[in-house]
Amino acid sequence: MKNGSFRKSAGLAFGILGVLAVLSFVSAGRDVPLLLAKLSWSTVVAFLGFRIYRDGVISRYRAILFILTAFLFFLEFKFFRFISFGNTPSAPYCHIAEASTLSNFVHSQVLAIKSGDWRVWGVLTMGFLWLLIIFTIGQGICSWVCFFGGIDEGFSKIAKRPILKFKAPGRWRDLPIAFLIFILVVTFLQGLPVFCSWFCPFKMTEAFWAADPVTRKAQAVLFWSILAGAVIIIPILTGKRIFCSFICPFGALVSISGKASPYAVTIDKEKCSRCGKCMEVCPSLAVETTASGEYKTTNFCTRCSKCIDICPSDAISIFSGPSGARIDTRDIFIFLSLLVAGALSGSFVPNVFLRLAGLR
Amino acid sequence: MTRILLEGFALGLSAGIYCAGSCLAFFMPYLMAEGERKIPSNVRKITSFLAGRFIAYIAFALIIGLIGNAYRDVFTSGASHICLIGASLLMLGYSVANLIKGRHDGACSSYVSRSRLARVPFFLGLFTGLNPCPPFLLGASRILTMADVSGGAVFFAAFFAGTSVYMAPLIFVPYLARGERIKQIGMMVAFLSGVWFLVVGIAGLLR
Ligand code: SF4
Ligand code: SF4
Repeated sequence: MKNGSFRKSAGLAFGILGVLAVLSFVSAGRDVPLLLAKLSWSTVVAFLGFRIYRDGVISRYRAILFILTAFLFFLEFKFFRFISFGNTPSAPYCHIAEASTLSNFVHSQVLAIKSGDWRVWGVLTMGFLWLLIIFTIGQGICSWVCFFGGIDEGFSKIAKRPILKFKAPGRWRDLPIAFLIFILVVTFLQGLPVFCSWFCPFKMTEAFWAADPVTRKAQAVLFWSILAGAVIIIPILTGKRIFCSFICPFGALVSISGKASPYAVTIDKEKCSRCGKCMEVCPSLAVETTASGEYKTTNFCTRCSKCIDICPSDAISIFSGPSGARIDTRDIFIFLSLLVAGALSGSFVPNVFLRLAGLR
Repeated sequence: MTRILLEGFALGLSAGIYCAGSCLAFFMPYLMAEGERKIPSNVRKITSFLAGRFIAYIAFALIIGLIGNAYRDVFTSGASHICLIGASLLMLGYSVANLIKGRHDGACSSYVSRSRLARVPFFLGLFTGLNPCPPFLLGASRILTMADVSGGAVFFAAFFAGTSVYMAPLIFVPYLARGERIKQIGMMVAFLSGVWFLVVGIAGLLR
């Protein structure tokens, strides 16, 4: 991506700051320290946006925001709550759980609408928010917003170069879709959140640990194995986001529903010199080759933009529209992604600042 | 007898969605992987599956009728877990054989063709049919109050018919699941279900 002019970059960054500032005023009310913390965080997001537009490098600044947000999320919902409330740490929401209990989730949305009472629309707003994100940045949620993805990406970036080379997974890249179907069926059958109880390596709440000690031990073994293997060790060794690519049912759901988003990372066949660098660096294993040797991105692309930054032929960008009449929309996509990431992280990051400053 | 028939059918209709869910975990991945876009072929597969379930239901009704209440728990807990393990092993064998087949076509093809037995939906129906779910156990409790073995069999035949109504939409699964990629995903779902229910079955036996 080419460097942007100072004026254009500053203009877009001010646009981001303006929208986030309005949200900060609306949500902070008369709480001045909170308002200041929110405005500070909005400035950080807008500054990162400025650097992206100005330097023409997307993934580096995106990763800073993404990983920092994930780290702060865990600090707020795991660490601070753990030390202040003893053994009941729990996060207020988890978007991964939505995928694994989809039928219950849809049912709760229908009930909320039917009730006609806006006060019970708390759950519903999550549904609308999710749809809004899907229709705008689509799979971008997995590389710009998701707090769990940020942890996976953080570990995948620890080693400068991959210690183990990860071979193209072929059909096994579809494993999370199979896992999503399996989880939906078993959840429906057993009436229990099977993913949260057994497979989630983040366990943001105590609620899913079984009371019976033997079952609890089995859960703990699986929990630590998935956390150590798929979130920490293999990502460090391979540089790939293993949990996101092979397990996360939410990622699978987004890879299907995200087609509704108008933005897609696309490789220009004419410009591509077939060097294979995009495939090598893609942390989501979302670049494949066709039978004729052409490189193309798949539905699993999370719009992290690493390939855009590395491509020596400038053959990759974010486009919208049908193949004959595509337009380059990466500036708009980045703008929207920063807004979504800034707005969602703005609901908890300022609290962390205040706690660290001893004001909460 | 008509009353027993109607009663069994009504119970099947009201509880069938749950039964369909139980069978879905095993049979849907199978249909995703093996189903074709030809109604007669899919009907054959589903009929074979239902035949397995039918025999399982009738056998269950007869056994319960003959052994009576005293051994009911032994049968429903022990046997149901063994059947769950059986269905899981069948699914595992089927999915692993097919996943290996896709990788090393030459070397393993003879093994896979020998393991065609694992593809027979009849056995899936048999094992999942003998895996008593809550509505199934409700039906079992009802036949114990009848003290009539043949009445119990008739009741379970009608119960089977009621629950089978919910299996009809499965005919369309292969239409939704088109293409080689979806078949592979179906195979993976079969594998995951196989592992999960194998563990559930073993844990149930050990408890
Ligand atoms: S990095 Fe660019 S030039 Fe190289 S294969 Fe990918 S798209 Fe083609
Ligand atoms: S294809 Fe490119 S933008 Fe998409 S996930 Fe891979 S590296 Fe990121």
